[in-house]
Amino acid sequence: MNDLLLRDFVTHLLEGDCSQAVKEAERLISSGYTAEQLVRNGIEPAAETLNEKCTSVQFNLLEIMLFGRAATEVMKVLYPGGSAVDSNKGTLLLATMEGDVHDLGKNITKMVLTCKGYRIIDCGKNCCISQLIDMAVKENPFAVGVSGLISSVVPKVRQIRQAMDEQGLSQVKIIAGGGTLKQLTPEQLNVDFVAETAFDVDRFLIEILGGENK
Amino acid sequence: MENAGKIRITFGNNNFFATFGNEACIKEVLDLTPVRVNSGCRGNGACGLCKIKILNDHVPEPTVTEQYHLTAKELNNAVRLACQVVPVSGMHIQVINAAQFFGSSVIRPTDYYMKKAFFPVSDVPRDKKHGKYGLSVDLGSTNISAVLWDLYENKRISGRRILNKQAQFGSDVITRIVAANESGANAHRLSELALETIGNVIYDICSQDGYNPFEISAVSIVGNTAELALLCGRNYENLLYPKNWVKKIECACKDKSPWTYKWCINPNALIEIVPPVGGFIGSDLSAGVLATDMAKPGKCCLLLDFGTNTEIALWDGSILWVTSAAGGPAFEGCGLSSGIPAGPGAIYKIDASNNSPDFICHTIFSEWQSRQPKGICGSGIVDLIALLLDADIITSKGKFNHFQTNSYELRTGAGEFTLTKRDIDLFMRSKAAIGTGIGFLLKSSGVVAEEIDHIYICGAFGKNLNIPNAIKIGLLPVVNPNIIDLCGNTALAGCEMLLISSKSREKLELIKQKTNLINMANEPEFDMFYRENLFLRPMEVS
Ligand code: B12
Ligand code: FES
Repeated sequence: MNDLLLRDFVTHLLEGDCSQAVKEAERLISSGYTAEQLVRNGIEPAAETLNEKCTSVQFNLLEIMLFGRAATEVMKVLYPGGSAVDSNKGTLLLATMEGDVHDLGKNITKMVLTCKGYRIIDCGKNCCISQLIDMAVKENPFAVGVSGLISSVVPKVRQIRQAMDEQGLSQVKIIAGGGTLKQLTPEQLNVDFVAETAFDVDRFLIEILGGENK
Repeated sequence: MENAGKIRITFGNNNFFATFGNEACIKEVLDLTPVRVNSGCRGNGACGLCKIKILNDHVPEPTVTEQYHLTAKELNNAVRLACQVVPVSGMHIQVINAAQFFGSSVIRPTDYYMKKAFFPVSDVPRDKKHGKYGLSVDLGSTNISAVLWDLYENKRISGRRILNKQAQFGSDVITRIVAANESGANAHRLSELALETIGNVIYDICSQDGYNPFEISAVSIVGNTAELALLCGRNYENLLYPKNWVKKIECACKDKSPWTYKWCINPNALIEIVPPVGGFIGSDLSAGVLATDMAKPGKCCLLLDFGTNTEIALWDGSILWVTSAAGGPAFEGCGLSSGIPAGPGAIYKIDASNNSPDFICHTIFSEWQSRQPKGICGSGIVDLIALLLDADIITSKGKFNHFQTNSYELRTGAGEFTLTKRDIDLFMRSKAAIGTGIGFLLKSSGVVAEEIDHIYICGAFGKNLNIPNAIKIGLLPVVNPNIIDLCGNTALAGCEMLLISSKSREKLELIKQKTNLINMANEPEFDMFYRENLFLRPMEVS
C-alpha cells in the first residue's frame, strides 16, 4: 500500500534519520494512525525500496545499517518494551533459520506479539534446527515462528516439521513469515501457516488457541 | 604467487597450516581447505557469519563491516570476520563458525581444464522471469561436481565438488544397478540419493555464496549412463544385458516437479539430461569430446576418461570411435589394500630418491602438517608399480622377484602402506581393460599409435598421472609424452558449454552423427588383447 501521508516517515527511515523518523512516527500516531499501519505501510515498503542495495551482487552496508537502526528506534516508540499487560496467551518461539541473518522482521514480530500478550522466546538469528528443537522441548510453546528472508533457508524450514515430530512435538504448530517465506505456500514449506505480516499471525494464533481452549 | 605465506589454523582440537598465495582474505584461504568457514554472502561483508578468532598478535583493526556485525565484546576478544581479514604470514586463527559439512569442496574456475577448449558465448535464449542462473552438473559415481552460471552476465559464479551419497549402495555402478534391479525401494532410494546430493550442492552454493536458488532456471546434467538412468529411476536394468551395450538408453526426467521441489529451484526450470551416447558410454564422454574440441577435421586424437568405467574415444579425423572399459575401481583407489580415492591424505605421486632406498611420497594437502597420508590413490599406485619394476622388485608379470615376498611396504614418515601381489593383480586387470579398449579402437579405425596427434586424459585420476610411468607400464600407448594433456574434469566443462551455448549443442549433434560405438564383448579377439595387455610393459599395438 502506498500511503502518501506516510511519505515523510518513509524518507526519514531511508535516510536513517533516527530522531526525525521517531518524531514523525509520534506525530502520525497522535493524528490517528495505528502502530500496525506504520509498520505495514511505512517500515515494510521502506525496506522494499532497499532491494537493489542488497542483492547477491550488490551490497551497501551503510544505507541498510542506518535504515535498520531507524526502524528499530521507531519500533521502541510504537511498542514500548515490556508493555505487555500480561503474557497469558501462551508461549511462542521465534527464530531466523541457520544461514539467515535478517532479523529486523523477526524482532518487529517479537515486539508486536509481546504487546498482544504472548510470551515470546527469541532463539535469535542463524538458529539451527537442533537449537530450535531443544528450546521447544524446554519451553513447551504452542507454536514455533520462523522468519525467513533469503530463499536458501527453504530446505531447512521444510525439515522442521519432521525434526519436531521426532521429538514428540507434533502438537506444536509451525508458522512461517518474512519477506521470502511469505511468497510460498504452507505446503511448499511444510508448515501450518504462512503469515503475511506480524499482525496477520495474531488471527491464526487466536484460531488455534481458541480451538484448544474449548 | 606474489604474497605467499603460511597461516596456522585451529579448528576444534585440530591444528594445521595452510599456505596462501594471492587470496585476498582468510575466507578464501579457508575455502580451499576442508575446514571452510560459514558464510552467507560470498565474502562481501553482508552476512557476518564468517567468524574467526585471531589467536596471536596479528590482530588487525576492525573494519566498519566488522564493527557492524560483531559485538564490542567480540571485537575486544580478537573475533573478526574471515572475509575482512587479509592473510599475513605467521597469523594463527581459530575457526569459530564452520560451514555445514557436506563433504564438499569449492571448485575454482582454474581448477579444471579450459586452456585449449573453445569456450563459446552464451546465446541460449532464456526466459528472464524464471531466473537468471543456470547449473551444470557432472553426475559421477564417486563425486558430483556442479557449477553455477549467471546466464545474463555470461559468467561462472560458483562451483562445488561433493561426494555422491549413492556410495552407501557400493562404490561401483554395477553394484548399484544390481541393487536397483532387486527392488523398487532400492531403485527409488538410489534416485533419491542422487537427487539429494545435487540438492546439497545447490544448497551449499546458494546458502554459502548468497544466491537465490529459486532463480535457477536451467539445469544441465551429464554423467555416465548408469548414473543418469539411476537418477531417472528408469531403464537401468537394460545395462545388465550385453545386448544393450551398444544401444541407446533413454534417460530423461519425466516429471520435473519433484526435482525442482527437492532442489528448491524455480518450478519452471528447464531440466535437461544430456542423453548418453549408448550402452555404458555416457554424456560425460560426449561432453568431454566437446570440451577438448578433439573432433577436428584431419586430426587424430584420443581421449581417456578414467574411472570405474573408463570411457575411451578415438577421433580418426572423420569418425569418433568410442568404447568403455569396465576396469573396476582400482584407478580410484578402491579395492586395494592401501588404496583410497584422490582426496586429502592420499599419496598421489611417488618419486625415487637419489640417496635413499625409500621412495619420496607426495600427499594431497601435504602442506597441512597434521594431515598424514592415509593411503595411496590411483596415480600413486601407477608410480609405485613403475618404480618397483625399475628397481626389479617386481616383474612384468606382476610377481615379486624375491621368492619369499608377496608384498611391498611403502615407508613414509607416517607409517607403512602395503602393496600386495593381489593388489598388483587387480591393478593389472584394470590396466588391461584400458589397454584392450585402446587397442580395439586403434584396430577398428585403422589408426596406429604414431599417428595420434593428441591424447587427452580426463578425470581426477588423470590430473596427477605421471605420464612416462603410465607409458612404461602400458596404461597409455607409446607416444611422445608432450602430446598428452592432463585435462581434469572435461565432462563438467562440456556440460557448461551445453548450458550456455547453442553452438555447442549443434556441435554435439554433429559429433553424435559421426560416433561409432564398439562393444568389446562382441570381439572374438578380446581374450588375446586382454592377455597381452595384462603385462606391466609398454603397450604393443599390432
Ligand atoms: C535489511 C536487509 C539486510 C540486512 C539485514 C539486517 C538485519 N539485522 O535484519 C543485511 C545487510 C544483514 C542483509 C544481508 C544480506 N541480504 Co538482505 N535484505 C535486507 C532488506 C533490504 C530488507 C529486509 C527487512 O528487514 N525488511 C523489513 C522487515 C520488517 O520485513 P520482513 O522481514 O518481511 O518482516 C515483516 C513480515 O514479513 C513479518 N514477519 C517476518 N518474520 C516473521 C516471522 C513470523 C513467525 C511472523 C508471524 C511474521 C514475520 O513481520 C514483519 C512486519 O510485518 C531485504 C529487501 C527486502 N525487500 O526485503 C534484503 C534481502 C532480504 N536480502 C537479500 C540478500 C541476497 C542478502 C545477502 C545474501 C546479500 C549479499 N550481498 O550477500 C546478505 C546475506 C544475508 C544472510 N546470509 O542472511 C535478498 C534475498 C533474496 C532471496 N530471496 O534470497 C533481499 C530480498 C534483497 C534482494 N531483493 O535481493 N540484508
Ligand atoms: S560477512 Fe559474509 S562471508 Fe564474511
